[in-house]
Amino acid sequence: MTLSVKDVSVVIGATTLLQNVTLDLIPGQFLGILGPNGAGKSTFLKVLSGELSPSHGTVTLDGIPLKVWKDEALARRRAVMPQASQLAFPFSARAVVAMGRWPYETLSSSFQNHRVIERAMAIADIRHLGKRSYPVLSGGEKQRVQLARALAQSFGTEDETDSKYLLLDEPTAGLDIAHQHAVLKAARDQSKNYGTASMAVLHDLNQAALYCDQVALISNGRLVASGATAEVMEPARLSRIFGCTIKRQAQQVKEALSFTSSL
Amino acid sequence: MAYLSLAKIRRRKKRDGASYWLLPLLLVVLFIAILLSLGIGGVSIPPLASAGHFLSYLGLTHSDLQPQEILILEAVRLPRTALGLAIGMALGLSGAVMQSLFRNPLADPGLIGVSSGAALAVVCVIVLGDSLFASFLEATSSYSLPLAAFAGSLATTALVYNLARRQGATDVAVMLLMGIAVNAIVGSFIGLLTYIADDSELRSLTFWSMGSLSGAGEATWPSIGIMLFASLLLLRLSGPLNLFLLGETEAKHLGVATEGIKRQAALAAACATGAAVAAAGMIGFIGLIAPHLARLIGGADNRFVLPAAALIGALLIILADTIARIVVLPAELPIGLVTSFIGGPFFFALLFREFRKRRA
Repeated sequence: MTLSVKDVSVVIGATTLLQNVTLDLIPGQFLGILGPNGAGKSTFLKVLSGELSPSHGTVTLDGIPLKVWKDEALARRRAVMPQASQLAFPFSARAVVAMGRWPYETLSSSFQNHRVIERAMAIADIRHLGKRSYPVLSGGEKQRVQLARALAQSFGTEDETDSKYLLLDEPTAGLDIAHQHAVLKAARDQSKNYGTASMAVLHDLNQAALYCDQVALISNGRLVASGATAEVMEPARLSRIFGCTIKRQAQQVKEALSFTSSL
Repeated sequence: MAYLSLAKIRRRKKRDGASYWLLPLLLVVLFIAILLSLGIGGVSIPPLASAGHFLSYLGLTHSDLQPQEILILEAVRLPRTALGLAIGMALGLSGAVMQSLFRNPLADPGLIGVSSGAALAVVCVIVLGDSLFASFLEATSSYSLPLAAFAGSLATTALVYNLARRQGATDVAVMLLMGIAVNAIVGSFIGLLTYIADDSELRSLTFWSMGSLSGAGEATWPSIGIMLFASLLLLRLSGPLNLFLLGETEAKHLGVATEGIKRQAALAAACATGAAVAAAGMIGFIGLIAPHLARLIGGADNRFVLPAAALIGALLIILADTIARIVVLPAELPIGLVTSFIGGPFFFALLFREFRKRRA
């Protein structure tokens, strides 16, 4: 019952974007993807979501290749929060969130849809924006609406037992610090409370250390290391990958790791 | 408590939901416009009298009309109105669908050259048909013009769609420039064909490049059939097309089979536009104005916008045709002139609004 990437390579033209990556998304775990710009993090997310078919290797959900899955059945299992989404038409923020319920159109009552949408909007802290027109929201507000939409999609229906997959592409980009924490907490809560396999492409080492159960490091299209956060985030390894000096210190208060970096 | 919260939810749902209640209202307005338009012309027939006449077929009332008036009503004005309704619906819907497909509120079958493509194909068949496409004409008989128009509009849609797309979204500037290019090419071809056409061909060329409902009658039935069928197909796509507005990738992630929907939408819209052009020539701006008015009164949800754009499109055509028929009595103006006359300034206003938004 996992979303598995096995020996996947992505080659576009003469460029190799991903090379022999093997990784499982495990239900109940929040996985952070770290790596320098252009390392292949977003490509990896596209492979996981089924947007990009790998040139080599397989991506399977519950043992069945993603290509075999019907779009609609797949949409009930995994939700994606995109990096940026433009919408030229005056939909209200709430209507955009409600679009996340599309895969459950026939399966879920309007009462349940309503509750799920309200909950997703509360988590993303956009209840006060519900009636505002999406195109005129600020960048950060748009991001939060997209988060709520992805959450509404991944909440599913009450009687479902299949594990869900929530893929977030740089969910903290453009958000203020409080909302960055809120987004990461939402993803972690989904994993902890509902057994969702969450995955986020992140840039902040401290946030990854604070929220993620697992971390995968990607550099030059290769998976350098993956596993439990504390084991993977070795200062020497991080320094090598990111090309700058990274030091680690154990924080006494919360037992979380903290990192400082310098060139 | 439980009751209270339920009531609250119901209230909120109503507020969030699209304004579906406007649809029956639009239908009523459309009916009134039809009755008025049927009564206006060389012989004027009071709207209530024509309503009474139609209801008499159901045995509900007694018809007060003279035989001559009945002839004008049923043989002249009614077919014209029916054709106008089908065309307005087809163009309004095609416009709304193309705007969703291109993710761009300025898309319109006329502006981006789809109507011109259809018109060019039709004009080619009319002028060069006997010499070059004789076997095509023979094989398709009364469907030859709708088919040619369909091929023309489909080819243009495919061309514009593929050339104007950058990373899943269409570039407005490129799209509109493509439209200018296509319109210019078509204009030059029509000019050329005008030059070599004989008298009767010339008249039908004017008809096709400026648009007119005067061809209404048996010959346009195949086109009306195609428009109705394509319109039904398009209406069915309103839900998935909503998600398209978020972006193609996002729609796919939400479970929409995007390739299939895209193909269906483009085919049906090209079909509807092509058939409209084949039956009445190029009638511009309906596809642009109708969806905008629909969004203005009831919001952007396609489940409302599509049917509303169909009704508003029909309403606009009926109004424009009434104007076209009466301003230069006993002659009539091409309806395409009337719609362009109203649509041009409307397009200006839209562009201004877009620019203001971009600067803000």
